[in-house]
Amino acid sequence: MENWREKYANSWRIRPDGPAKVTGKLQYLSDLSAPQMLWGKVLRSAYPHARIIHVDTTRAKQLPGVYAVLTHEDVPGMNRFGIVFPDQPVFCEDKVRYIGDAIAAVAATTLTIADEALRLIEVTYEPLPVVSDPQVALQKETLHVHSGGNLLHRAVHSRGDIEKAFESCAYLVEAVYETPRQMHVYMETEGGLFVPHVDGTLTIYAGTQHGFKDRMQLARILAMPESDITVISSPMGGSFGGKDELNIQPYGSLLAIATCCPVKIHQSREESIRAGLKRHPMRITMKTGCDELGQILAHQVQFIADTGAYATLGPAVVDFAVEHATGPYRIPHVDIEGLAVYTNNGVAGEFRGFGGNQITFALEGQIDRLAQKMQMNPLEFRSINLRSAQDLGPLMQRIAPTNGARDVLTAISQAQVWERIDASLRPDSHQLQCVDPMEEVFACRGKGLAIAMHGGGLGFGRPDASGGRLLLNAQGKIEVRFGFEEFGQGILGTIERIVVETIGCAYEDVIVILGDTSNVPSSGSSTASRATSMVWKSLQQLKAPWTEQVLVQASHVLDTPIEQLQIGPNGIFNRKKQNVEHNELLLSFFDLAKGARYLPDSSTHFHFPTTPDAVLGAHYVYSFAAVAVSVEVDRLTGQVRVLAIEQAIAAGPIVNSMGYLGQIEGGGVMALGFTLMEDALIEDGLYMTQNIDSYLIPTIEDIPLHSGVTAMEGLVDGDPYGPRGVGEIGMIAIAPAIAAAIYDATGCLMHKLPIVPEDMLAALEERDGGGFPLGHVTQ
Amino acid sequence: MPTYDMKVWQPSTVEEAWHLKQRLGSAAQYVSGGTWLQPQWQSGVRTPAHLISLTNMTGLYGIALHTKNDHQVLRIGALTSLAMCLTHPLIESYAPLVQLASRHIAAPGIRSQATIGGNVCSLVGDAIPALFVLGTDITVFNGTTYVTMPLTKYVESKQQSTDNEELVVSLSIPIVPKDMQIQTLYRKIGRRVAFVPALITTASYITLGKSGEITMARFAIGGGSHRPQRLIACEERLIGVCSFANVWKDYHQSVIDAIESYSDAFASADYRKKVAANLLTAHIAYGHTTGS
Repeated sequence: MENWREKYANSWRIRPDGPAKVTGKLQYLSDLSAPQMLWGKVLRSAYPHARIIHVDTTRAKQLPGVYAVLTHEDVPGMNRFGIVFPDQPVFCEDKVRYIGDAIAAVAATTLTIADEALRLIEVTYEPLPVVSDPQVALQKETLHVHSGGNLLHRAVHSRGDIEKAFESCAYLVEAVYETPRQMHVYMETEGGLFVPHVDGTLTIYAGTQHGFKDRMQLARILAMPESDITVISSPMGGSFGGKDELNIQPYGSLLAIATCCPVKIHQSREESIRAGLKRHPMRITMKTGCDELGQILAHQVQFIADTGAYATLGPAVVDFAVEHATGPYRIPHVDIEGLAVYTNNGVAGEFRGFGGNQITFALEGQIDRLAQKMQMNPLEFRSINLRSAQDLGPLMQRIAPTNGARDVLTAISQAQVWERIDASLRPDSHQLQCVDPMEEVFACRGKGLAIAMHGGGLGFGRPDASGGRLLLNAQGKIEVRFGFEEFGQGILGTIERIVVETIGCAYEDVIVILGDTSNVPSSGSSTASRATSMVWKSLQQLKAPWTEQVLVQASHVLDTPIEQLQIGPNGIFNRKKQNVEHNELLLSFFDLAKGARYLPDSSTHFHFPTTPDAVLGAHYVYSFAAVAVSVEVDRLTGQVRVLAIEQAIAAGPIVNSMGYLGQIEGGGVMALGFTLMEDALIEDGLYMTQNIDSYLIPTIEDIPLHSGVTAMEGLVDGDPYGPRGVGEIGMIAIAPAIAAAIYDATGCLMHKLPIVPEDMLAALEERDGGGFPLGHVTQ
Repeated sequence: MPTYDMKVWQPSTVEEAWHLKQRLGSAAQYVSGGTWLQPQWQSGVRTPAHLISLTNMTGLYGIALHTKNDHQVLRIGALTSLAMCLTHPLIESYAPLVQLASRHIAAPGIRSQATIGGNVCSLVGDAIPALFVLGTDITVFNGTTYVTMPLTKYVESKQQSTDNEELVVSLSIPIVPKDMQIQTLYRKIGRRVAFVPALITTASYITLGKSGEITMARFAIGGGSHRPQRLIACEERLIGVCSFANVWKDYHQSVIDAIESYSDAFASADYRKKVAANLLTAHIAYGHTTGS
């Protein structure tokens, strides 16, 4: 496997925020405190579905040390939030719809007093039947979670004549796939510090993926002008989509304003699980057919997404899944319907992959089942159905031409996974003196592959503006400012790298300013794999005007014609001298700042590239992944271990090689969890997994030692869009590849995620006709 | 969130600790590593007013060979950490099952704090099945004297009543002659590889005669919320068996029948029993086939 450190030595650079993070020195926003600070706590619902008859805060208010107890009556503005559909109450008025619904909030001098105050708030409920099954939720007789009914959103796409096409198929497969309620499990749970000022303004130190959107929503809730609110939102200890929506910010803000004191809220892991977003569980039915040569003719998809109690970005997730239901394949006859359904099961919303993970698991499962039916090599089957560079997008919209699908499929055909598979690949092989002979007898090993296509940006018809600002400050540093957020993905290193490469300065010349609405331009959200490409495009646009300003000022200070000057590390150099070693620094940035008539300062504002075709939500710029994995299945226990993961990624040129590799490998591990163990179990609206001792994510022992990433950096000639973001593409195709490898190892088709040992063992027993598989050993 | 408003006592002898416990009664609790108690408090179990820390009792640490009635035993002090059990050469030589069990309990940071005595006292520790099949004895201080008894008996009595307040002092594992043919198995089955409660934990210890016949067998299960169990009925039916081919199906079923298990949100009782039966059956069958 490629050694990235050597291959990409030029861009392999320790991230600027790395040392402080790994040494624990970095202060996250939830680590902050302030003099006279109060502690905030939120009272969450005792029931997943109930009417609120009465709320009595009298006793809580009387408790010494309590400064404020707030309910919906204390919200000065709109008592609702939600990025697109503001349907979630800040404080519930007359009804609770999930176990994380907020009823009241308190601010007190200590956390213990705040906890005690929550206990003293008396809430009288009238429990209602719990709507826990999204299919049942759609039945007429089922109680409505919201007055408008339980169907939040329906998205469709069709073309051709599906029924007629099925009649002409030589091979047909139909299956139902289920995916889990995955949790983001960011290391830093939701929290922050809320500081009111004497002039009536408010500063919020709390993580989010879109500071300006938080500010807009909070202004509505607080009935304050947006300009009176400052949101400082970086750095964060992880988000993965989970902090895109408001979480504790409304409560901290309201409490700070009510008490005129700084207020800190930091959710415990239990509170985070109870109130926080999850990935949409989906039940996906697919029927797919191909002709005798393996050409896919027809593909029918119906899926239901459990969106939980409130909308947040549920409709967009369903739109995304509909769009990606055909993946990178040419299919003439298509009929897709996706539903987002309200239930009392927590709240599902934004999560890395945004519906692509679920639908790709099902789609690639169909592709493998068809290939098996035809007895065709799965790679060849994919190849003959693959899109070409100039093909339309999956919703028949025009897209940026791309050969990414072919590039990744070709690359993955060379993966080392295909060459070697044995016990030495096991993560614990280094711990063992020798492989346990008994385990070896009952180990089944196999290999599988899958591919995925993933749109970047928010899609047609959605506000998706971006921009940035580049300036030379008075201290001679090049400040680059974006409204993006750092939540562990490595955006600081990426921005630094792009600035250095584009402007020609040195790393030490650059200061990156993010996540502070009072100091940065609006760049749009740090979501949807969009930040890297928007930073790149910003710098492309800022380079010429800003450089000209710099050189004009340098020309003035040096009294040298502008044509003879250029920007280099630490300052201004003579353009004519090509040999950098003998090219003397004429003017440092510091001296330039001192001598300039004005400080060079450029801004840019533009929209994420979108398709010219008016298809709501349709994407224009796509990235691609092909994944090869090998697995080992224990016939005795049903346990599955992933032995190796190799990914080929087509997302344009690499900007920051360490960040790129980290995103792809990290996405792979997160997807491994999605595939084999992660599921926030809910029964009757109550979480069975209330902490991360029962909600499991992979540990280092579950992660394959053998992990390879191949970047296909080429773009079609003339592509003007540069590097694509890679925040999501590394986690889309892992689950179907693991399922394919399990089939290769065992002959069992697994259709439900996570593939837990009990289900795997049951499938093995079904394959063997029941019982214990010892016959061949004892004969 | 639990509050930790406790008084911590640090006696230096077993007797002193015992008397403290007698004096403070149910308001006090013994603690060594604390890794078992802490998550319980976190999940809402009430914290005691007094903690009697055992960590100053130097006599309760360490691993050594002892001779007792002409038999050698490996004595492990109750306060020996699981990290020590994982790396100590005597355990590696004479009780590799304990080493294996230690590797599969919790995570490195916790293992350096957690003790083998604490694992036993939890009554659900993953070391217990391994200690059961090794024929381990336990030594406790009962207030007046030191008493040694089979670990199985101790665990059984504690399952019935935790009123007795003996202090666990040490564990003793018999050393078997080097020329004895032994097959052992330890497998902890969890929902991920490491740092996870067991769905079920199994251990097996079999000695073979010169003709390959089973001369002694001990099987045990535990882990998760299982009551640790020796599968005596299953053991007895295998004594003297040479050819496993004729009996494995019955044996497999007998293990399933013998295990008392439970279902929860994560796995059914059927699955847990089946996995234990699969592992124990495969262990014997495979050993017999190869003679290894």
